Amino acid sequence: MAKKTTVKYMTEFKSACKFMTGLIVFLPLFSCQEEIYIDAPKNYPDKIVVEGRVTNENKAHRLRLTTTLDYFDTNSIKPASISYAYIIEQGSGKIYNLNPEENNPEFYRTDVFKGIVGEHYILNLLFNDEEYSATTYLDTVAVMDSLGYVYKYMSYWGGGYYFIQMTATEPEPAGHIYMFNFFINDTLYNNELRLTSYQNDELFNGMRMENLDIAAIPQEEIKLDTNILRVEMFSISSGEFHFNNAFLSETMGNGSIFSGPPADVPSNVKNKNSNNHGLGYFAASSVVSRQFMLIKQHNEALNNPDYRK
Amino acid sequence: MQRTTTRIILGLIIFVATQPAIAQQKYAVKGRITDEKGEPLIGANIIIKELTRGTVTDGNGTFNLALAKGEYNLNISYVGYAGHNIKLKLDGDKSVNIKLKEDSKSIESVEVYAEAPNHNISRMEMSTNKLEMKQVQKLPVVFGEGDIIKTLQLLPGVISAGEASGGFHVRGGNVDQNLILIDNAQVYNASHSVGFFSVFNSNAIDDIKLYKGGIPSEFGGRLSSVLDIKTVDGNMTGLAGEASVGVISSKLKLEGPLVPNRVSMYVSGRRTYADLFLPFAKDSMARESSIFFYDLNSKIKIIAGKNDRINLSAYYGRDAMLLGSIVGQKYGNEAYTAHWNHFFNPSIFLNTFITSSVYDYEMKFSEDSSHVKIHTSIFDLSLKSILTYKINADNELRAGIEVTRHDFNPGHLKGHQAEADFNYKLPNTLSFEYGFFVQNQHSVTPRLSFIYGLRYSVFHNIGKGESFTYDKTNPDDYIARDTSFFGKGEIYNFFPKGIEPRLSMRYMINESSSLKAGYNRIYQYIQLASNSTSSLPLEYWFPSSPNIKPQFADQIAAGYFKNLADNTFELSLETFYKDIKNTIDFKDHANLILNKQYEGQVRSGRAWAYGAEFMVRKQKGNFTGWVSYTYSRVFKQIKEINNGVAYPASYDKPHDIAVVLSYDINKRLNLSGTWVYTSAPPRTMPVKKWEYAGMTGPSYGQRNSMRVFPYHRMDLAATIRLNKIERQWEHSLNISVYNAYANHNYIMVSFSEDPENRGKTIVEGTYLYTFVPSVSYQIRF
Repeated sequence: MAKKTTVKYMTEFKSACKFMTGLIVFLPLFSCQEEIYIDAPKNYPDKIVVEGRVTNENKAHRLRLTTTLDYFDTNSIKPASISYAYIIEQGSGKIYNLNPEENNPEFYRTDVFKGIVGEHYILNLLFNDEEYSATTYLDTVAVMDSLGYVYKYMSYWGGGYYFIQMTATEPEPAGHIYMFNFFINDTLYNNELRLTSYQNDELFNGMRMENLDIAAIPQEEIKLDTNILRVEMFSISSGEFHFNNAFLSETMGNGSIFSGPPADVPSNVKNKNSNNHGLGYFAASSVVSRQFMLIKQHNEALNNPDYRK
Repeated sequence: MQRTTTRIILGLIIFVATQPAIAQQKYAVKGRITDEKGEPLIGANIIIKELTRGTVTDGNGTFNLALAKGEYNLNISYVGYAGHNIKLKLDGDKSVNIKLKEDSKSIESVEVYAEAPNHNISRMEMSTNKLEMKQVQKLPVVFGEGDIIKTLQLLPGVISAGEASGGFHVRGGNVDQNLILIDNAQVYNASHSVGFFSVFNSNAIDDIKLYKGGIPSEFGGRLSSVLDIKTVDGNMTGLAGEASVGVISSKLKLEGPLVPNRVSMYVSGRRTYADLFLPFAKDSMARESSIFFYDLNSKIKIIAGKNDRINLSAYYGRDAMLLGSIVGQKYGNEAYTAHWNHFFNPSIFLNTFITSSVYDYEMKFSEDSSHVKIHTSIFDLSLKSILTYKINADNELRAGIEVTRHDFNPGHLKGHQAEADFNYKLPNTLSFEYGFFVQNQHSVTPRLSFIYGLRYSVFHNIGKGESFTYDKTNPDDYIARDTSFFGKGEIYNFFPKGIEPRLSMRYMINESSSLKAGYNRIYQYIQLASNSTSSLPLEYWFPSSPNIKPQFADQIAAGYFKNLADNTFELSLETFYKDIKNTIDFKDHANLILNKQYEGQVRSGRAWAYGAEFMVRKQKGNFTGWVSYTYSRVFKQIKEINNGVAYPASYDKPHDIAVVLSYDINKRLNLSGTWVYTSAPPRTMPVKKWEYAGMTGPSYGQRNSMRVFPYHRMDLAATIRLNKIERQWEHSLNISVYNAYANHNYIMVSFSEDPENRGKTIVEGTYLYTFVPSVSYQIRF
């Protein structure tokens, strides 16, 4: 229990530190904010952006391939014009070509195949006459034994939350990181990366994780006794974990005097011939999922001190 | 290069040892100037009338002159004391001890300089600035609180780290490359309220000296500067005091004898009370918040006998910021000094300092029955001893030793949640830093003089501790592959190569102009884990280790100094070049908070800085002030950052201008004003945008390749003495305006997606103060 809490609070505390130090400057007594206009430099070449993953599910795997826009351009993001793109399964040497979808020009899909745990997958593509490559590893995932929840009112966050809890058995060796998707009646709740949650095995390696908090969903998002909550747990690489963290730090709160120097998010999409690397992340995951309904009676019981005794 | 320089220094020291034989052509006049109670008078003038030159007494009230056989008139003067003349028939070495009588009238009617009128020309040191508290207190600053650090930033070669930071950059150095000492004890975070104020209460300060180059060998451990601050001594004869009441803070100082003429004491304190006004704020979060700081300075001075003085001084300061009952942070410095000064004879004396410094930070977070807090700290214990030997009138030798024990706590998280306690602590690290130094101040001829010396520094890490071995295959992400554990007391890392030559040269072209040059090498073994453009209280210090090589810098500087119109105007031009090896920076998206493997976030390489500093200063008359201009550049090149391409440091601000003016309209009314301009700092700006996982992110150009908004500001102040000048006590009013023309100086520029218009990106600037008037009332008795 203590270890679980430590991990949770280390993460929360890092956020609180940023919040606190930022707030000192934002004290309304002292600071003002205004929109300003600057000339962003142009003529920088566009970059390829990769988003997608290979999983151990038997299906056609989709990748989204787009390009960058000038920073102040108000147009929509453009599909990337790719000469070719394919995925190689390193161990077997099998090649899975990526073909554009007819009605979604920014999406490419393979034929149906099932990713293999322990395999490396390599994405190769040609964009603007430059060759790019991204390598990723399909790791194993923990066994999700059960799901549950508790309700808490968080005055710091200003509302009530359902804390989704998972019990799972964590496999050896150390170094696993898990990412969670939450579907409320088959609609993805964490449709933005900022709503996605993670857990590493730093303090749980090879152990059973009991009632681990894996997300806090605002109470207004879920109707008790009605909605079905499905949780997908993905194994992700440390590279993807760092990428996601860096992406969030660049999109939420960068530019503060308390943040580090801004920098491109470290992608695994590498230009084979120059430093003009791509953006985004080509990922691979094992996936498990479970679903359950949040029952009011259960919530009341769990949050009743007498029941706990 | 290093070996050759060492040989030159050793050669010069041997040369000095032979000097008594050569110096016998002249006779030595040694002496000590004290007040009637035997207290040494520091900076008293001794002018030889026949030669129109002279000297000043040092920190122990002693002086040393070399004169040819003959008859001389020595004119001795000191502010607040009646002047004294001595006729001297010199046919052999002489020793003179003089007691000056206090003369209160002389304070009001005679303008006496603490140093010779052309001290800027004649003093051997270069790249050194002294500040007078009288001047600091006249200048306008935010909320009417006179501030040493803010005043230092008006000097050439010193550039502010920003409006929300108490840090400063000296000659292209980072904020953690300044050694800040109060009575020889180190201060690790010199700012209150995240940089709005410095920790130095102007009431408690007596003497401020900033070394930017030609740093004496007795100082070490920081690459760029030494800020040496001495606090005041308490009055030995009568009770005195000073009090001031300002818009957001008040101060009180009391001093007097505990045992008349033997033991004195002063105590000085201040506290801000902005928190008292927060309940009236519009914002609900502000209403529930509290923000304040306080600090205390105290000193006991003991005259323990004819040849012994003991000073016990203390500084204690705390900052507190609380947001309701949810989040709070506290931090502060403590600095304690025990100083023993012993005279063996007028030529030989010993100063020994035992100091202790603490900087600690705590943040806590509470929610219902849960609470959690983080704590970081550094604790130093230090011994320093300096023996001074005035060999003859032309040579003063100083030698000594310094030992410092550093105890680092990079992070400790603990708390309670859901009926369970938790505790996560990064291991403390312990290190020892040693310095052995020798230096000679040598007047070769009346025109030519040198200060040459050598410091030898050694550093080691000592257990109990652990060290990681990193796989550095991926420059973006060092991975810890192995951990080594070390037992208590086990030395597991040793840096024995800290040879640091120091050299300064002065050539007097004539009485009003001189040329100076200097060189120094300095090693730095501890640094700040700071990745932001502003300094934060949460940042922690960490030592060199098996994974972090010590940084070292070589600096050369040269300058021309000229006084005009009978020393009314001082002109100076200095240039410098600095080369720093093993400089550190942090990888992109570094994670420094509560990270056991924080060393894996560090990248090291080379930095270099160069520049020119120009200053015109008017010292005499009713109208005084200065104009300073600094052009300086600083670059870093680190293999794993910015694709290995050199980039300007985040504090590279090429142009820095300060105009400081003060006008005494009459003896009771003073007007002053300052204007500052600093180039925009370089920033990494987004040039492209892209979408991923439902969000829009930025893509950047090269690191620190764009500049947006320069900083400029004007401050104005008026100080009015409210009672007649003849009165023994004084009360006055200070009215000031900070940022008089309300310029929006952005402390941060943020880029984000417009929440009301997805896909549109906007830029927002945040600024702090525009037109801040303040009033403070002061009484002195």
